[in-house]
Amino acid sequence: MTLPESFYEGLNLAGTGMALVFVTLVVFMLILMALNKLFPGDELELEPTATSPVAETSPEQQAAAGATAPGAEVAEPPAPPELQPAGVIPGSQIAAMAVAIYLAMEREEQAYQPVEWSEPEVALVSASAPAPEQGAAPDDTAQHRSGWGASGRAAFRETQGRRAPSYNHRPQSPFNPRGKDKR
Amino acid sequence: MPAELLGAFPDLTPGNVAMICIALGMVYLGVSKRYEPLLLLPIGLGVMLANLPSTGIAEDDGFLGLLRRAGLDNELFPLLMFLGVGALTDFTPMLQRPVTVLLGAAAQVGIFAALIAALFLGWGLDNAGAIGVIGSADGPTTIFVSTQLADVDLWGPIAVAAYSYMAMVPLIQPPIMRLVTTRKERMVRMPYPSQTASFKARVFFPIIVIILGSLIAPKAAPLIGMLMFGNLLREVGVVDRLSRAAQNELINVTTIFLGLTVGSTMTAERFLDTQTLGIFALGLFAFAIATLTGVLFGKVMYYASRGQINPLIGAAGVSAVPMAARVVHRVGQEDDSDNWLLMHAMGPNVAGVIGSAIAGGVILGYLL
Repeated sequence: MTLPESFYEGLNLAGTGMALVFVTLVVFMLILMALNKLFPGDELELEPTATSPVAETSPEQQAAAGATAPGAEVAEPPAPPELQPAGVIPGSQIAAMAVAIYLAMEREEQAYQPVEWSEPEVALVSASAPAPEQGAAPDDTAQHRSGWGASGRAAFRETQGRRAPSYNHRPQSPFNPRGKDKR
Repeated sequence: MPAELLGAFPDLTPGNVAMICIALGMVYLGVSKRYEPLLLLPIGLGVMLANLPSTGIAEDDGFLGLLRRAGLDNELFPLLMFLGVGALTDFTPMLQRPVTVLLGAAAQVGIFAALIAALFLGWGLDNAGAIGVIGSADGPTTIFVSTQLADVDLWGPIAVAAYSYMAMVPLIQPPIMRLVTTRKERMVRMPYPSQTASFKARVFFPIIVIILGSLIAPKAAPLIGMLMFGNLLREVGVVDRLSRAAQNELINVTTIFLGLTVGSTMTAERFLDTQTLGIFALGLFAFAIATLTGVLFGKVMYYASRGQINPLIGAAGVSAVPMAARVVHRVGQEDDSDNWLLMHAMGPNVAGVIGSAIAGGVILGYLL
């Protein structure tokens, strides 16, 4: 079987083409390296592993903080440092954030529940209430502890700067003459 | 019954019906399976419109014919697409790890392997070159090259094969990646770069690539020029309006027109042919070889770097941005669920875009 002339021409094209592509991209790679040398970017901070503060403190400080020895155990790295890339949040922090978000969501949900103020969960609601020195009357603690008070404050915050919707007002109506109320 | 009352029904041929069914298949794949819906939907509608008899819509003076002459025959639409692609592409992962550029080159072997296979099967050199570029896994480059090299009958099948296989990257690549790598290699966790890419480097890089790339492969200048111009709009940070326009309005409008016009070239008499099957087979071959050579080169880099580079990222050297990088990430996580390869794979992925443009330009320069 004889192959046509174009086949050999194609082989030539393939060889030349592949070589050119490689050479071009090698050149681009060198240019990239040169650009990185000439214009270095910001150093990415390595994720502070739990051991780093301990390592940075002097032995005296560590001795003085002898009571924190159990904490130092907690500060053991979960993985070798090279497996902790910069910009990646460790799993423990993600878990902590997830728990915090969950608790915050639960707290918000409770704020809208008419819970009994005497229940222990009510403390979560009262935690968001303004402190007495911020203007809250000291004698309205019970109000702040009630779900109604929290929902009222939330409603007030949401309507701040706007006129409260009138009775039977339909905000989604296309015939809303004001046309600005997005609520 | 007067013929006028029957409309175009008497002119409907079995070929038209088959093509309308193919068009509906494309619409189904795009809408229901989410396989490249942005392209398969307009292409499918273009096929459908072009195969409705007696409408004249796809003829030279018809609506789709006008669009084709305005933007496809003169390669305008693929270039505008590339402008948008450049504005959407972030070259930072490649700038932070320049060595991954080589993986973008290795994966271009698929183009030339398919070219040789097409020649071996009896295609002419021009058509073989156009078919080979399917292996670039880059729609605009494929259309840009095929509209200059291939017979007009082949434009539609080549474009559809390219986009179909790009949509099927998650099916094509993983078996090849698993075949040529060991579990230990797939589990390599790559260290992250120690510094960001500076503003100056991000701005100088596209300018240098335009100049050098156009000097090395002059026929690739339109592709590289548009790609890097789009990227420059993105990186300079002072023309946000233009950058947003390129990333959204321009690329969206062009996608609609490009899809419709490519679809309109797929008439029954052109598409229903054994050579269409050959194009699809060669396209698959090109994708497979591109993936294989990318991963094999990744293995070379794995050994050269003493296990610092995960060879899977070589598969992202086929452009298909960002699908190929996502596939790499997913395959890596099959063996180690805490291994994050996505950003590592983006380097070869965007390098593959540049590599495929260069390869297309080299083929054009050789054959034109």
